Amino acid sequence: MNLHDSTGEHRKGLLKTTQPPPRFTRGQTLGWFVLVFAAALIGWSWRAVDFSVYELFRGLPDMHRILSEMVPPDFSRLPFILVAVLETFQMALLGAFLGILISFVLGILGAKNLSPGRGTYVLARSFISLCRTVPDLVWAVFFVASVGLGPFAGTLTIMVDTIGFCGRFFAEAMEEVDPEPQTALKAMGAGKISVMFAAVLPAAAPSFINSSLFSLEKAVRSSVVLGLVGAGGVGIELKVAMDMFSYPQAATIILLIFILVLLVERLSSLARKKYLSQETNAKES
Amino acid sequence: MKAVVSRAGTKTGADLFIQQVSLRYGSQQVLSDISLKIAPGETLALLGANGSGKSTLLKCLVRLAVPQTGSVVIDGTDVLNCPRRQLRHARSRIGIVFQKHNLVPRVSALSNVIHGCLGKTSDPRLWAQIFTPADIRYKAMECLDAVGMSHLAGRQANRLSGGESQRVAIARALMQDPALLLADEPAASLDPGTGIDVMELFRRAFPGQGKTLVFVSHDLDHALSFSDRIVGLKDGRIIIDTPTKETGKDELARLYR
Repeated sequence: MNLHDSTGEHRKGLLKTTQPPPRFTRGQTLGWFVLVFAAALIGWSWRAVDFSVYELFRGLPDMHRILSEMVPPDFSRLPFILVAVLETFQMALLGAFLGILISFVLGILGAKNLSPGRGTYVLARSFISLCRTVPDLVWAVFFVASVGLGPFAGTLTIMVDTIGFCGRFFAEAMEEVDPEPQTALKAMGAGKISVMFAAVLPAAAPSFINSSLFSLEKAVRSSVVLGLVGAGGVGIELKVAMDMFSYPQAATIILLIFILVLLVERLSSLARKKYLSQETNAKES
Repeated sequence: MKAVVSRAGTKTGADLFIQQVSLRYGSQQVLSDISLKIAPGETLALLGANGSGKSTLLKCLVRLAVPQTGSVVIDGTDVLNCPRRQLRHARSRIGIVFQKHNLVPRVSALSNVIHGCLGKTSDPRLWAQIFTPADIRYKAMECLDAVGMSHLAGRQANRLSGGESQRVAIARALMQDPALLLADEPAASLDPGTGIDVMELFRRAFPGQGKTLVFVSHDLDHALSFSDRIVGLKDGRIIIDTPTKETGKDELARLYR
């Protein structure tokens, strides 16, 4: 009811506003089609992989048996396993570090506002996409075949994987930086490189730090499985233990992997929180 | 204003010729046939309603906006048509202070002031104050002191208030030591008291030292108090061009009707 409408002049408009909108708009109808299509795809995949709840239940006793055999863990080879875990961490650290360094350069070349030309931009972005879209195990197989078995191949894999992750985020962070301070420096006659180092990089620093810490966590998780294809680290120890049915030894390895991943995640999360709280304080005061 | 200004390298202001500048964005004519001659050491206030073309004209003076026709000659350099290297040289002699000060966040006030030298040299040590040579750091501190901000030299730019940020932006322009200073509504985002302080700072720092100053404002009192000459724009055309002494609020008010 329109309380201000004493003359009835706005009745036509009033009727229009009280009319509910149609149940389905064109966008929503399309949304339903997409939903039905997605459901059909999931059903199709379900059948294709022979997903069976019955088989899962049938496997439960075996799972229970393996888990029971794992307890108590066998620590007899602990020194060797510790060396392998340490090697895993070293691969992750060095790979992530080199990846971050290269991502930094590629991010600059692949950021629309900093790239020297369209061709460089497309090349840099394409390379980053290639690193991201090819899975890390495929890179690992490639590097094992080209540089041989061992942690060097693993480190290269982590490096390429980090480029795929950080390169994109670094480029986007630099593109999203407020352009006004850059305009101010440009208007004063500062060159492109000076503007980049003096105005763009400091403003994008929080995003760089965030992405780098995430990439380190990701690198530690990835480096564990790289050993499965011979690219160094503790993964190979786990594979051998499982293949030889030495479940107590496998338990020790899994426990140490768990501790390593958890430790790196906690440290990275602490560093992130500490840095972000500084940023928040700076904004609030 | 302290020693930093009197020791400044650029002794005189720039002279500025704007000839038949016209600019359109798509079908919208923003500037129509603007011609102005500004003498060295003159302080000119650009007035006009929103959308009248004042800020765009200011941008044309440093080629941040490029008009379709016309020329802008500053100290003999045609900034609209010169090669990039010459443009950078010309820009290094033109300071510009923005309404939102445009300081680089997350770096200190001191670093922001040091950036004022980046037009004159590409020395990488100026990118971050920790690497900057001592003499430049001291000069930047003098500039901050001149605007009453030396006690906040180490504070991050994003932690400064609006008035403090604008003072740092002025210190950055002082560091640049320009022959011509452009200011785009420098007091618009500040409270009235701080706004007057900032305008006073401009007067002492630039016209007071013989530099040319062009500022855009919506505040008639600022224009009448701080300029030698007032130019009023309406729909991209100059409709008032008068010495400040010979005009008053009533005449200027027609710019906003």
